[in-house]
Order: sequence, then C-alpha cells, then structure tokens
Amino acid sequence: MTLRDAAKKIFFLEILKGLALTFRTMINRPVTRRYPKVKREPFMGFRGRHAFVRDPGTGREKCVACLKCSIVCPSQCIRIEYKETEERRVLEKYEIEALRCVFCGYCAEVCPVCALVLTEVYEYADYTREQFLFDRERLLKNWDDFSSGLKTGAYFNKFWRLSGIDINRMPVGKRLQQSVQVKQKEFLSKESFDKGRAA
Amino acid sequence: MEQMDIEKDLQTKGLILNMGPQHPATHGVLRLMLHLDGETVVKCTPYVGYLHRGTEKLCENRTYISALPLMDRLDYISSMANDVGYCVAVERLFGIEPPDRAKYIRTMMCEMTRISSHILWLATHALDMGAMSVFLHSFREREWLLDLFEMITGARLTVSYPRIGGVRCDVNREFLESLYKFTEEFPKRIEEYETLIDQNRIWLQRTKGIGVISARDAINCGLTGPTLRGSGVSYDVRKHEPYDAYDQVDFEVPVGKNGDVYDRYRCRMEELRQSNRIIRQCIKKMPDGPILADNSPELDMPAEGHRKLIPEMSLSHACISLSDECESIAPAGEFYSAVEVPKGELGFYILSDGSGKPYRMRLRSPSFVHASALPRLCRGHMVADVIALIGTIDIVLGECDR
Amino acid sequence: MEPTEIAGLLKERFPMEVKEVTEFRGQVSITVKRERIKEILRFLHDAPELSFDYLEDLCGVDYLSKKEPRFEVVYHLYSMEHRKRIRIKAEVSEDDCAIDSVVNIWEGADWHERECFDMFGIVFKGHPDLRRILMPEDWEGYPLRKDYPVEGPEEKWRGFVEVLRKAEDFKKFELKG
Repeated sequence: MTLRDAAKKIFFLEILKGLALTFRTMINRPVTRRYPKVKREPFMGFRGRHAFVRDPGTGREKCVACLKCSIVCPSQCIRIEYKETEERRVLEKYEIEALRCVFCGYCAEVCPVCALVLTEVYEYADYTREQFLFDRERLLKNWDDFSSGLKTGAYFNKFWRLSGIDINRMPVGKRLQQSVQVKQKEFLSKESFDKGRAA
Repeated sequence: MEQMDIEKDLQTKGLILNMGPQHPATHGVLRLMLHLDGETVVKCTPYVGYLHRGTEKLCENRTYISALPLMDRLDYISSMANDVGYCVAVERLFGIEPPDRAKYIRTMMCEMTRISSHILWLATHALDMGAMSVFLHSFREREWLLDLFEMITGARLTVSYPRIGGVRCDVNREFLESLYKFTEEFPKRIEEYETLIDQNRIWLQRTKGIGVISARDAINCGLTGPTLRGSGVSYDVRKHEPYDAYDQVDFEVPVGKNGDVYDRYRCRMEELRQSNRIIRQCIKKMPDGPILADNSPELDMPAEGHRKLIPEMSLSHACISLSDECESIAPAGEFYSAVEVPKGELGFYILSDGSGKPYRMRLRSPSFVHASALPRLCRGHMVADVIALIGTIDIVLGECDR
Repeated sequence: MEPTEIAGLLKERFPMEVKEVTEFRGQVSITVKRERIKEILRFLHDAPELSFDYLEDLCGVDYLSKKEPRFEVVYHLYSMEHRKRIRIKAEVSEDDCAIDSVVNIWEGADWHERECFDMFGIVFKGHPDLRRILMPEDWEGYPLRKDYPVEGPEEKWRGFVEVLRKAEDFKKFELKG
C-alpha cells in the first residue's frame, strides 16, 4: 500500500469529500418549493379533473351521445343513457366515476365534438365518495369553476387537436374546433363584494 | 467451568423472521419469510401477489388501444418504457412500421425513463443502506425529467404517450431545449452521487462480495438486465434485437466481472452515462416528419379489428357512425417481442385471433424472475445483506405481480 | 442454425412427438405432445450447436372450444451464444391436466410454473413446491381460464368479506366529550 492509500485510510479522505459536498449544499439555493404557499402552474395539457365544455351558443353541453368515450375508456368509468329522436340523439344521463378513472385522456381525445376536457385542476380533494360521481350538472359546474379561474379569455385544450397528428385523420368536429371563449370573473368593487358576502 | 456447563444445556433454535408486506425496505408489498440461525439467513421464501390486479385477464376484454393505459401501471416508475414495449410488440404483430421521427422520440423517451428509474433505484438502494443524502440529491434530477414528461404528455408518472404506430403528439422546441440542457448538466451530477458513495468504505464493505452469482447460474435462473450484466454476460435486447432507433445511435453496454452487488451498482451508474449519450444523439439526429403511421389504428378501433374510415361528411354523421371500417388490420397469429426496460427484459407474448381484442396477452416481467432468484442469493448472508440484495435486484412489485 | 432448420432437426429426432411447425412473421413455433417434453427440452438445452441455455418465458394458454386439447404450455427459449429464439408449445388436455416440470433444466422455470398452475390449474409433476403464487392460498378457481368471469366469482372470497366487515366496524365511532 502506498503512502497515499495509507493516508486515505487513516484520515477518512473519501468520507470527508462526501461531507464537503453535503455541507456545500447548505449554502446553495434550495431546489424545493414550499407547497402550498408556492405553487407551480401545471403545463398546458395536464390531465386533471373532467369538465363538460359549455357551448357558447346554447349554454349547455355539446355532447351528442355518440358513446365513443364510453367505449374507449380503459377503466369503463363513463355511463351514458340517451334517447333517440328522428334527427338526433338526446343525452339523458352522463356519469363519470372519477375514482375509477385513470386519467389517460382517451375520452377527451376521441370525442368528435370536443365536448369533454380534462382540465388542469388537480386540487379537488373531498370528504365523501359521492362527491366524485360527476354527473352532467357537476361536469358543467367543473367547467365554470375552471374557466372562471383562467387568466386568458380563450381556452384551447391540447387534446382537442394534438400537434403532429395529420388533420385529415380527425373527425370534422375536431378539425373545425376553435378556442372556446370563456367568461371571466368580473372585477367586484368592495361594496358589492361585502353585500354579496352578507347575503 | 460454569460457563461450559451453561453452554451444554443451552438449546438454540432457529428464528423465523417475517419481513412483512408493509416494510420500508422491501420496495413495495413484498413479503419475505427468513429462517435465521443467529444473524445468518438459512432459507428465504418470498411471497408475492399482494399487488396482483389481473392485468392479463383485463387485457383480453379490451381492444389493443384501450389496453395501453393498463401497461403503464405495470412498472409504474418507468411507465414510458412499458408502453413502448407494448406498442413495439403490437406493431410487430400487425406489421405496422412507425415513422422515423416517432422512433427517435420513443428512443429518447425510453432513455429518459431509464435515467429516471435508475435514479430512483440509486436513491432507494442507498437510503436502505444508510446513505440518505444520495436520495435527496438525485431526486432533483428526477423532478426535472418528470416535469419534462408532464410538458409533453400531461402526466408525470403514468404517461399513456406511445401509440400503436407512433406517438400520441409531437415534441416541441421548448422540450428539446430543456432536455439538451439536462444532458449537459447530468454528467456532473452523476459525479456528485459517486462522490457521496462510490469510494466510501462503508459502502464498499456492504456491497463487495455480497450476493455473488456466476454467469452460468444467472442465465439458468433467467435473470436479465443489469442484474445479469453484473455477472459478465453482455445480453442487452437493445443490441441483440434492436427496436426503434437503437440501431442508429452509438452506445456501449456496461458489463461487470464478479457478479456481486457492487458490480451491478457500477453497471447501472455506467448505464446512466450511456443513456445520457443516447439522448444527446437523438436530439441532434431527430428527423422531421409525421409521428403516426398511416395505417395505425384509431383510438376507437372496433372490437372486430378493423381500421376506421374518417368520413368527410357532416358533423352529426362523423359522430355517430361507428361502422365505417376499412381493411382488417389484426392478423391471426402469435408473436413474442421483448424490449429492454430499466429493470431487465420485458417480454410480450400476444396471441391474436383476428379480432380487435388480444386472445392471450402474456407479460414476462423481469421483476418476477428476479424475485424468484432472491432465495438463492440470500443463502448464507446476514439479515443486513438481505436489504442490500433486495435493492440490487431492483424489483418493482407492480411489475412482479401484474 | 436458423429456427426452421432447428425445427427440422427436432422433427427428425422426435418424429412421433412433433405435431406441427408454424411460422409467423419470422418466429417459428413447434407444437409437440407433452409425453417426452422433458427429453425434448433437455436436447435443446444440451446440444452444442443449439445450446438454448436461457428460458425466456413459460406460460399457459387456454383455447376453450377453439381447439382440442384445451390447454397449451408455451416455452420460449433463447440461445445466448447463437442469438436464436424458438417457441415450443406442449399440448395439455383438460381431463389429464398435468405435464412434467423442467425445473431441473432451468431453475428459472420454478415461479413461472407456479404461476401457470395458479392461473390455469395445470399440474407440473416433479415441481418441488407447487402452490399458488399470485392469488391467495385458499382461492378457488383458476382465473385465467376462459370460462372464469372477469368480474370475479359471485361469492366473494372470505378474506375480502372480512376486510369489508372490519371497514364497516371502523365507521362506527363515538366522539368522546
């Protein structure tokens, strides 16, 4: 054994090198983020809570009960009931069991009229299981909650028209889909806010 | 004298220690029954099946496309690699060729997954052995990679990104720039991790000479991946049967000598560097072009195994017509296809009967085989070495139990 | 040696056992009878020009009402030296659901055979410790058979019933003053 190796063995040189690295980290800026005080915005296209897009014309959902989302869902968590009239199908019941869902995004991707989105909302924990059975009204309410929190007035979800996919492969509804205009929360003056709170 | 008399009457009995399914060091729900003689393990029996979700049976009831998110959740740490493996298997069965850009993107994503999985392996392995700072240092890089995944696919862990015939969406410039910056900084970080443990005398004493398995025995037991390469066998599916863009990038496969825990650790650390190299080459060589093959099946592929025609007609017709189909794409036949996931060799044996649902989907997972080799590795070692051995075979119970 | 040549060699040596040789997309499958399966696999393992020293996978397939015999045990073999792959399929009928175990040739076959027994009910003669591996030890039925429902049996497993009962008990609690 050389003198160098003997010195390394006696004076714990490699352990000191490791300790030096650890102590140097104390001086550096921390890489952690203090959630929930500091939050990061999820990237566009993050697969979060489901919502039904409100059609700006009718004010209701755009779903045409084609059942494609229900067929393609890997966890079979979408249940649909509809009624057939001469011209079209009328949606009666639409339920998503969010606790069964694996958030793969296939339902939003396959919908030919871009009626369903997976919004970027990920903080929606609740106390009971019943709150997670999203029916039509709840899905529309999810959309209202999400769109009122948006910073811009127009929203276009990534999964409506995925980049790189040939546009001729997509159904007509997806080819023509434009950004959805959302109504943002109007700026409330202090008096109207207090009045609203008192009511 | 008295001591000798006491010792003559002393009766010793072996101890049966149950390292239960809930244990911080077993990396999941693995149960080990250890028969101990003092501190030495005489016999070790693993019990698996606590995370069995019936993936193979579920796949038989879904079309090929709908079964893809189930594959994410096999080895949930490296989900992109599982998806790519499944897509490669189905493409080889159907005879679909993905475009070049998709191949490079998939290769890049697989290598990112390899880095992220090996980082998690290093972090938990070192944490179990007592070196806690490695965990905190290495997760900084893993967070960077998971953020990159989220940027493109929308989910950090269980991405359902590859599609049969290509990938789901394109990568943008921001992603490639961030990834390139990562590859420039990563070699320094690997050196940081090595500074912390590589020459550390405690680490060397706990890993050298432990769990030695010879090359012949390792092949006989069916080990693959870095667990096999630590014993000197250079078997890597990426070199033996290249898929995607692996035959167009240069990389080396690190091989160990002694077959002990230290050699496997060195193999994986070298693989981190090689993966970094592959990602850099993929970014530089990425061709332009489409990302999904023309004859790839649509998301709402019918259960009869046909491709869908997209009609040009009105809005309502496009929604409700489910029966516009063109040629049949699912042939009747069987195929075994293997890919190199971070843990080893993941094999898919798919038996198709001509319909859109697989008739039999068999997943050959590396963790299942490695867990079966654990009794052989543990014999004669001490209880503390069992922890080192569970770490070195790198099992994930989601994959082991499917 | 190419896989088709290997199939030819096997057919010469075991003419009574080899039933069919098929090829699909470059992969060769050889269907054999199960009586001398151990000899066939031993030959493939030991012969120096073949040397299939690596058992990649061992699984079972259920062909309910598609063909007779009902089950098949499929062996995927790989040769490290020659880099060749081959598939051997041994037919197992439903009434005599047993086949010889190959644990003596490849140690890695141990857990694969246990899983095949667990999922299909095929008994491996000569296996040192044949018991259920993925399902609980006292489970009845063989899940991967085609006549087993994907939702599970109608009568719930006793362990599940116990867990549900305990969960109900936990819900009843009283807040102490």
